Amino acid sequence: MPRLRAFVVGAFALYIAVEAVSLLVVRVAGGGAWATWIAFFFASTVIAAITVILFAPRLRRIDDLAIASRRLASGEFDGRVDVGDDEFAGLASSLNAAAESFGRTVGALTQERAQLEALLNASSDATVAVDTEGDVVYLNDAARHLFPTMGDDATGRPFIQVVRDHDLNELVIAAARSGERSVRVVAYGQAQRWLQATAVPIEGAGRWAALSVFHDLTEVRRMEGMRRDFISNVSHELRTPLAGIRAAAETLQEGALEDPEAAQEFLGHIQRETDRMTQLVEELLELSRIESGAAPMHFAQIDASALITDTVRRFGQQAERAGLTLVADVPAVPLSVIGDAERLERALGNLVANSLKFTPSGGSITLSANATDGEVAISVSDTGIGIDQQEQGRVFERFYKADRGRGGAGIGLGLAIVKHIALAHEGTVSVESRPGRGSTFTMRLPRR
Amino acid sequence: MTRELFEKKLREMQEDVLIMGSMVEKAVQRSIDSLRTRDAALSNSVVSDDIAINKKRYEIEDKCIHLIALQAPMAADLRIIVSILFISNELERMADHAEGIARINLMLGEEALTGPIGDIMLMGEKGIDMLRRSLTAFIERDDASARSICDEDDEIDALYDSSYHTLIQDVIRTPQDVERVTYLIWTCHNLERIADRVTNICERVIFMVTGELEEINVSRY
Repeated sequence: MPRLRAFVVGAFALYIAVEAVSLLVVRVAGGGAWATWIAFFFASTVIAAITVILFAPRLRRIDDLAIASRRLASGEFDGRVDVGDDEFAGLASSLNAAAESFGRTVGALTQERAQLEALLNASSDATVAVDTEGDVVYLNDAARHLFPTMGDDATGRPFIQVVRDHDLNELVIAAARSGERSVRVVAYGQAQRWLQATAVPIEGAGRWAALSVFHDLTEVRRMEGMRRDFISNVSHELRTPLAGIRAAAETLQEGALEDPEAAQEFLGHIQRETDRMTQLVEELLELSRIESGAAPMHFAQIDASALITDTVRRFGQQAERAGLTLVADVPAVPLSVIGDAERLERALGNLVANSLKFTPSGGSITLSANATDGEVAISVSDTGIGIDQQEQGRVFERFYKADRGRGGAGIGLGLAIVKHIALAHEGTVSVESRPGRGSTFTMRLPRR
Repeated sequence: MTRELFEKKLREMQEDVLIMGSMVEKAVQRSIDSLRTRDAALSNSVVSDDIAINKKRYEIEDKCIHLIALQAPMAADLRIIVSILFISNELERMADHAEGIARINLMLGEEALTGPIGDIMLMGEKGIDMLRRSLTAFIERDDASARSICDEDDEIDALYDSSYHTLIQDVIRTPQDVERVTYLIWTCHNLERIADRVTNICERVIFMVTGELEEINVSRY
């Protein structure tokens, strides 16, 4: 407790002693009122100086603690304050404990978020979350890939802007606004992908009002379709000759056997139909052997030019009968390639047989070979009816007939066999075609 | 009505345009698909789904008129609403062309097509792509891309020319096919009109952004 004492000695002299702190006594001597003021001025300066000296460390401590709590508020949990042993030690250590616990919690949450994000992004199913307005709040990588209309700019936009499909939009909006849970299969986009869309409302997930998952069924549907086609095609291809054989046998039974000339004709019929079935079964087996890799390939050095000229010779008569020009356009030098001669002959034969079937009389078929550094390209080019853009990708499928009306004669295995022979050579086969102008099939084989 | 509510209504109407656009895209796609695969059931569904498209158009029209009456919007706001009105009208007519194609498939009945219809499919797909991008330009207020989409109409016209000539040659070669070929010419015409209507939408987008009404790339048909 500071004490103030004043002693008056004479009329003009004044002594003031201020005991600011028990240890310190300030004495000022002077005369008149100004002396009083000077004394007060000095005394208060000294008191202020002492206060500053005494409290500065405490102020610094409070400042440090304030900075630390501000850092905590802004999400920095790494810094720690010096605990010390003054009256702020308790506060400091609580702050440190809070920082540590927040840091741990936020770290765990960040990790969990990263794990969930990784999980969602690893999924091949497109996943989109929307808010109650139907605005996109989250989409995973697969969704960004599936709905590329708005690019990376998709979040925050209405779902319809991102998906551009009213069926999918309806499903998702119903989940977000009315809490309806639904599943629907929708043909999506110009590529007509089959999407199974599932939309579920969610509660207690902040802005996430509904989550929708889009599972691509296109490939599954395609495979299902192929299997169905395969079974119906095989059955159909076997039933037709069987019906013929049965009819011929019945006619023979009903008396044709007595007429040797008629009997000969019907037996010939039975033989032809049996041949057709045998060919079908053989082609199926061959295809399955090549496809499964079970058929041993006999690789040897062969000349692609010779292969082409041989094929032209083999089909010469047939082309002539159909009124077609069949020519080989090959370099005079041999084009050597490593391959299975018998199988390549078969592949090339299938391609030429196809062109013969689909080229109207008066047209031409050209077989050519070109070599580049790494590969030999063998092409069969015709001036036939061509193949529609949409069909081009499918002609190499088993039993696929691009033009069912016109190509009735074939089984639909020829091009599938070509494809698998090319694959067995580690090569490829492709088609370029313009409807009404013609088609070019090209087999590319590595020269090795 | 507060500004906030007005913005919300405007946003809703723009979403409606995209929803209707998707309905029309699907109608066009399914109509040409039904012709390609000769699928009468698919054609019938295109015809019956047209009712929903017409309904959507009236719904949009109603909302537009409502907003104009209640809010008396000016300048840019008014241009947006008027554009939505016109665009929904164009979309509705495009759906009618798709319905026309579906009906052609039904009229062809059991008869086979006279030849491959690759160019027809191409016209349809190109038209659908242009439609989708024109509505993106509408949403993004992108008059530059609206202009460039208009230029693409030339590609559709070129496809129309080549299909038309091929089909005429077909009739000359096999006059008995005249009816079936005529159906295909109608199909081409419908698709050509669809692309034309896309350019009308683009003109509206340019109007909405710049306030200028200009006729861009007048079709030759």
